[in-house]
Amino acid sequence: MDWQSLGAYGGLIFRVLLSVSILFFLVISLLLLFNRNYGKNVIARFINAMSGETVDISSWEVSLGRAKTCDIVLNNPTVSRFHAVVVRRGKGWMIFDTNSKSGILVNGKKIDKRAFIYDGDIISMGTSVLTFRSPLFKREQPQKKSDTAYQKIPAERKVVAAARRDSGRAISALVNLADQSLVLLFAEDYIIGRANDCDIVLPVMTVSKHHARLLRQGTVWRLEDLRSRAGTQLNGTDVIGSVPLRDGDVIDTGGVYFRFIADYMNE
Amino acid sequence: MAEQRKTTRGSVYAADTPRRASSARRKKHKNYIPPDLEIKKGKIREKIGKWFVLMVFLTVLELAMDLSALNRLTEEELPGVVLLFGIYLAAQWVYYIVAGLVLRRRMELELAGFLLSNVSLVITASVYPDRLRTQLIAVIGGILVFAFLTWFMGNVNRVTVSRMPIGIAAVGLLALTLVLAEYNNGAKNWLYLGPLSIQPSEIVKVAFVFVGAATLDKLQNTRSIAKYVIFAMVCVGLLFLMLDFGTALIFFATFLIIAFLRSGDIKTIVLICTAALMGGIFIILYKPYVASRFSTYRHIWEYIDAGGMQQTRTIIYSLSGGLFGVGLGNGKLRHVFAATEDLVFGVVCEELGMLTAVAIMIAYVLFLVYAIRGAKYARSSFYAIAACSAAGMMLFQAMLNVFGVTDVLPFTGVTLPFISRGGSSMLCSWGLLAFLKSLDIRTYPKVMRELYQQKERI
Repeated sequence: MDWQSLGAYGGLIFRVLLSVSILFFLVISLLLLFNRNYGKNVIARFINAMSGETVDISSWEVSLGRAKTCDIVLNNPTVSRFHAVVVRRGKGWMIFDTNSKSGILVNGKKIDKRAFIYDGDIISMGTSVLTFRSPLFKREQPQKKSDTAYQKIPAERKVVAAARRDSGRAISALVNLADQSLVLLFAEDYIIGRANDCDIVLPVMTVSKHHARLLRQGTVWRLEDLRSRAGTQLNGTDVIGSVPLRDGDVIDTGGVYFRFIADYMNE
Repeated sequence: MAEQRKTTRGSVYAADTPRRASSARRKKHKNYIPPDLEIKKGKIREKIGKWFVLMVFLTVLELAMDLSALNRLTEEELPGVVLLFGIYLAAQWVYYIVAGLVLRRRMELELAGFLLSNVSLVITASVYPDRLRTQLIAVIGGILVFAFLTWFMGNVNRVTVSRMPIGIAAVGLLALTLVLAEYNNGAKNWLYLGPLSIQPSEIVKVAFVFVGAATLDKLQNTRSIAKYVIFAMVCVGLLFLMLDFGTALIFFATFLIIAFLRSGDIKTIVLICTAALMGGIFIILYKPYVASRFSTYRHIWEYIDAGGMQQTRTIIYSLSGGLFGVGLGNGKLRHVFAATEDLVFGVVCEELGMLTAVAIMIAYVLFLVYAIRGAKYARSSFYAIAACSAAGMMLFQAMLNVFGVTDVLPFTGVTLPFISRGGSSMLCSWGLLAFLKSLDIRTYPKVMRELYQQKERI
């Protein structure tokens, strides 16, 4: 036995094994990194208040704007090219205003660079209105002042009938045609507009601060235009002065459409 | 009624929504749990069997390398070296127990880092056994830096708040080096604090990537790009003044990567033009210095014993190692100046073989490929940009080192990440690895739970 050459062969085998093992190990351990099989889970949703279109969000940062490179493209000339960024950060979701021209309104209030947003918040950018939905992050603050007069629930005539049963008198209602929400009219006098002191607040730029007025005279509801910019239309025709409303009438206040449900049954 | 079903890969996932009688087929994305994870006690966790197997394999591999490094040591040096190797193995297992078992983290990047660091330890032990202790301290320091940075970047708020102070500190450190440092082999990039000598530019590299990456709200805000360009130009300028052209070039390349990732449109072209213009101006201004440093480029055989000495020896010896090397301790390149720092690629080629050297290069490439593919799933554009820039910087530096030392590119004296001997270089390499680790959302269990355990339908 030639121990020298055996040792040399042994050394060679050792070096071969060592090199190959190093290569094998590095490649295997790094290829494990590519072992991904994750679906895209939907974690939030934007609903276009006008058209009802929904956009699912499955990433933690979303850019909005008119530019084609944005994650959510808004084809609206009143929206800036890079208008906003919605991110999931810390305790919840935030919206950042990235140097937009017209600013961002959250629930009707203009924000200053950044704000937290919660489930159900309405975000306006220019004339685009989006509803933000993410069930894990609900707002803890109470609703706005006109809570008793204003309930968002799915539109059903049964609801109107139930309201009539509960309150003992006829309750008429407005159905918001964009998101099919119901506004029950418990009181006598409603102001519709963009300002916060209105009874029905519409955070849309084309709606005037005090746009229109709903007044109940006896059993009849009347609609009056409060010299708004865009005007108020009833079934397509402009409203001048005060006009009576009938069941099924379509009211247009600055681009927001309502259907009037009258409940004169028990009067 | 809880349902359990085995997938083809053998993992089990439970769905606790009752099955509708009519639908026989369950949609894949409803409460979908990926096969790597499992649900135990109501929480989503990583399955950890494979990391143990890989750790055992790694230990065996490292032991083989360590033993083969002992052949040139004297009897006095032997026990010290063996002890230090043992400490390193113990440190790796401690990390595995803490991160892999307790925290249930994935360990691919760490395993690769461990192996590459081991190569540096083994070469140091074989060539300069008395410096092994400092190198081991550097490796363990690097692992600690890695763990800290991975934790630090887990919270996006923490990241956004600290970007500005880190940027200021980085520029301050470079300026301080310019003022205080002494020349060392033609570049003024070393600070001597008592017994320690550090290269501040290595620390600034990590800070540079940190400051360059940004979350989407900063990216879309076009004004912050100008701030970043100024920061980058100041860093590159300071490095040029320090005459460390290799590091300046690395910063410049990383700046290009970051600028491209941040803007991604016509602005990039404008940035590149201004950047190239700036580069051109600098070369013209410093022409005498630059020219003299690179006079041996493509002429190394004419200055075979003078300026071209390192490159010629590297070319000769690295290829003489063949595919599997001549064995640790049997090489000749180790006797050349800076064999364990700049020429370490040649030493690896000669003693451990071309196959090992190629494996190391493949590791760098795989880091970058991972960063690019993983960018799609990043929580925030910060992680995507940081990981791609860090991996790109590492690969670019490796290319500069390997090509410089073989005369494909001018010799610039930059180190090979993880493999070169040097404390600052090791810390920087592990720091850059932390960006890659933070890209993976599987590192952060809270995030994972939120993403995959949402029960409510939207």
